[in-house]
Amino acid sequence: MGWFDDNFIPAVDGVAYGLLLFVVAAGLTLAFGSGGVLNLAHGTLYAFAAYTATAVADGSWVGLALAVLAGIGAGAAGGGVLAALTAPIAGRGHMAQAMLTFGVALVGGDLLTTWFGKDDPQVLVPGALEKPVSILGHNYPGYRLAFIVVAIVLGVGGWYVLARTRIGAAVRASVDDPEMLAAGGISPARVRTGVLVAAGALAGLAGGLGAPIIGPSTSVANTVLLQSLLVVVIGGLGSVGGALLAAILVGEVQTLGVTLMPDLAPYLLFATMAVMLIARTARFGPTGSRV
Amino acid sequence: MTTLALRARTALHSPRARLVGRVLAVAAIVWLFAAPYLVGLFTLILLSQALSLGVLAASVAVLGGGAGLPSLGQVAPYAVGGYTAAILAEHGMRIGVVHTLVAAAAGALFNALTAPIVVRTRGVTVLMITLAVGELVRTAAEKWKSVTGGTDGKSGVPPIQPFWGMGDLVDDVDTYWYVLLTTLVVIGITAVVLRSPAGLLLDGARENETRMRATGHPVTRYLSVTYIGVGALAGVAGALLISVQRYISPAHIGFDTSSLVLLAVVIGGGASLVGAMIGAGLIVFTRDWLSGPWPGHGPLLLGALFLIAVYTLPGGLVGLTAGGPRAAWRALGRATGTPDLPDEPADPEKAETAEKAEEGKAEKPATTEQAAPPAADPDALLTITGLTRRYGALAAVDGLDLTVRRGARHALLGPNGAGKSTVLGMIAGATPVTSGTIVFAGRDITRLAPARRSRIGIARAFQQPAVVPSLSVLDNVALAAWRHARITGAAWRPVRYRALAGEAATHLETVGLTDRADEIAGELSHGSRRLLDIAMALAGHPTLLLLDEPAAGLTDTDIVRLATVLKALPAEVTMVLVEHNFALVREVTDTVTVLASGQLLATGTPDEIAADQAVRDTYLGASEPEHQEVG
Repeated sequence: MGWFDDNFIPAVDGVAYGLLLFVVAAGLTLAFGSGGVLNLAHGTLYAFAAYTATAVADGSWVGLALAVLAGIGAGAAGGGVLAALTAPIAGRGHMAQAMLTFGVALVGGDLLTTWFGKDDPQVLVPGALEKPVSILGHNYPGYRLAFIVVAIVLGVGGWYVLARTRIGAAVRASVDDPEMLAAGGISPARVRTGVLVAAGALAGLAGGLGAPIIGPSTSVANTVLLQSLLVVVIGGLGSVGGALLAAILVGEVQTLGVTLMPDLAPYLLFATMAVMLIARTARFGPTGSRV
Repeated sequence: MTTLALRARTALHSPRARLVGRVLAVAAIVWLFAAPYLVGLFTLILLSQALSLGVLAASVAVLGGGAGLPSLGQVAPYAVGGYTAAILAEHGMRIGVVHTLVAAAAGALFNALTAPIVVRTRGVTVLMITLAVGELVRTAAEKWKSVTGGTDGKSGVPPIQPFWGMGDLVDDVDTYWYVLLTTLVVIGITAVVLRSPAGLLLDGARENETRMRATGHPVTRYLSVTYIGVGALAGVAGALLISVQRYISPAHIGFDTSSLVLLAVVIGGGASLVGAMIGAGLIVFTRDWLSGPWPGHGPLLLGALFLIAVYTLPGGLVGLTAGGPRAAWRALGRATGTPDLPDEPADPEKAETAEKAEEGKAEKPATTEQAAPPAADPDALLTITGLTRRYGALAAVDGLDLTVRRGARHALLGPNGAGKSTVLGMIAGATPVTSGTIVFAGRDITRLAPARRSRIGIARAFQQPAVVPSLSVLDNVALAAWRHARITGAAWRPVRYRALAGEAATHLETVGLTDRADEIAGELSHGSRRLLDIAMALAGHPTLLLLDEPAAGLTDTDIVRLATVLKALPAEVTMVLVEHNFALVREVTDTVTVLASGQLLATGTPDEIAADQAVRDTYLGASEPEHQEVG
């Protein structure tokens, strides 16, 4: 039991971290799969939302709700800007658009430090959530526990929308074959904008809810982008279940891995990615399309 | 033949492109040599930095624009090279040449370690993976304090000596000379390799990997070699960084550097080495120039430059996407008013030959025997037993037994969805086999990779003509002949290329494309592209030629030419033809096998098949009366 006791808290933390990454990665997959944009500014959207939420939150419950809404709004607005910026070059292929979002990430990162300063701000959450909660004899931060619950509820809701509603069917169709959807009378440009705004909103939701877990800082954009890219690569492009497992895995490596093997943790993620890629491509050949 | 080859060579590197590229390169080199006498010390230091960054940018350009693997992770071998040089200097080895070579080896070794992962991915997935590789190395540099000095990095690296017996490089002008000469040497070597015929292999791998594999090219190996090579290049860039600033820290190898370098390549335009160098120069100087009035906003400026470059320099991005710099030059050539040649009408001489060949057709051995049971036939070239391919619950091909005799002209017929193309795909190795065996010339090839099958004599023409669009017609065929021609000599030797092109020209003559040898494959009409595709298949000296609906989408004139080409195939070439056009089938084949729902329905001569009631019912029935008429 000793080992379990020592590592229980990091393990639960890993789940919280992983679920947060899953929300971010879902937006990334949506933008790429359906909108055709590899959004290298996705982490910047997260950072923007996290900063905004932190600025809005004042420690009250209303403040928390407003902060999350503000985060979603910030992310969605950022997604809209990206949609507008990439629209003129949508016909030039994935690479040009990826380059453009790369530029947006650099500009956005600079603007964020200018607006919000270089210090890492602390998020004020309602007092009730700041208290540690006792689970299985361990004290655990209440906010994170609440986040896990909220994320699971969101996940189930998201699954319901995707799998059981007309909108979900349209999104799934647009991931599979955007042109086919266009042939079905749905404007691809509008789908594209909608998808990028929705993807931004997902990053914003993650930023708004996750600010107390992965807080806003000058480096957070890159960290979140990189880790959510890893989630997408490990989980397999377009696979929601795979992404969820990969997100939990990455979360555990970031928390449990750091506790157990502090020296090896950074490489562990890379090794996981390598193994997954080799395993997958050994069966199906090179992944990713030439553009 | 030689003149033709030479002509194509000049089409590949058009005189204008050569001239502009060379003038630019020569002007840049002259200016760089004159710089110490023209500009101040500070500018010279910036120039040294720009050269080091330029070498790194060149490595990204080769990888992205050349091999089609756009990378955000070349900072990794760059860092490995830089830290290696710094550690060497700390341990008393201060000879610059040794630094350069060891750093190159270290960078190459690092990329050799990550190559197995990177070359498995394509397109934007490469960006993701390489980004992770770069971050991994930066993290390692931060954490591995005993070797790298942690976040503080390696400072106070002792000055190097360019060569044994030479003095320390403490003067900035001397350092500049050292950096300039090293840069010229490594970029020169890279340019020579890229401009040699071996550069064609990268063009082919980037633009049509499937075709390359189907003509016997081990594409993954080419990509791995390139990836390892650019690792060496980046390693040298890292060593140069040490010689310029005698300091390296994780800050030099982060996201910012990756983006700077990628921006340089975007500005420079794809695979262009000179472009990448100039791009790097522009960035280093712009950054420095703007940091005065507007300090602390490096990323903002960099990002803004990125946006401007993406919007205003689509040509610059061409190399990272498709077409390559050559296509860009060609587009430029067209824009400056070279009149396009109109498509030539069908050659009357060729039509005559077609008629003559028609007369000669009667001499062909007319076989009436039914295909013998598998394995019992000593004449069998290809024996397929119980071949099955399932897609989920659907069996596209279901327990097919088929024997193709040596020298046969064998047609596969069947309604849409009968599994004809799947059978061809499985014989060529492009479609995995669910169960069953394929024996070719007495050898079980069921699990062999497509490139290996090509090398043992199975060639394939695709349903959609598969050509390398940015290369000339002749170069396409030369690439296809590359692994098959009995020509010795190193791949980058022009002599070998000329021999190859000579052989390629004979295949073009066979299909009647000789007049169009210099044209760009991507600009051909569908019919000509089809003939080129067949020429590429023939260039593999196939024992077995697989053709998938060659007549689809062709005009009547083109079909006549196609029939001529197919009838003129050497007797030792066995052909398997999938085709809907029964008139063509009758004209060029001696055995017909009809498939329905992935199973064998009937085998016989074209006449027998045309008369077969079961076949008529499933396939030649009232739904397609025109086939009966022409048949």
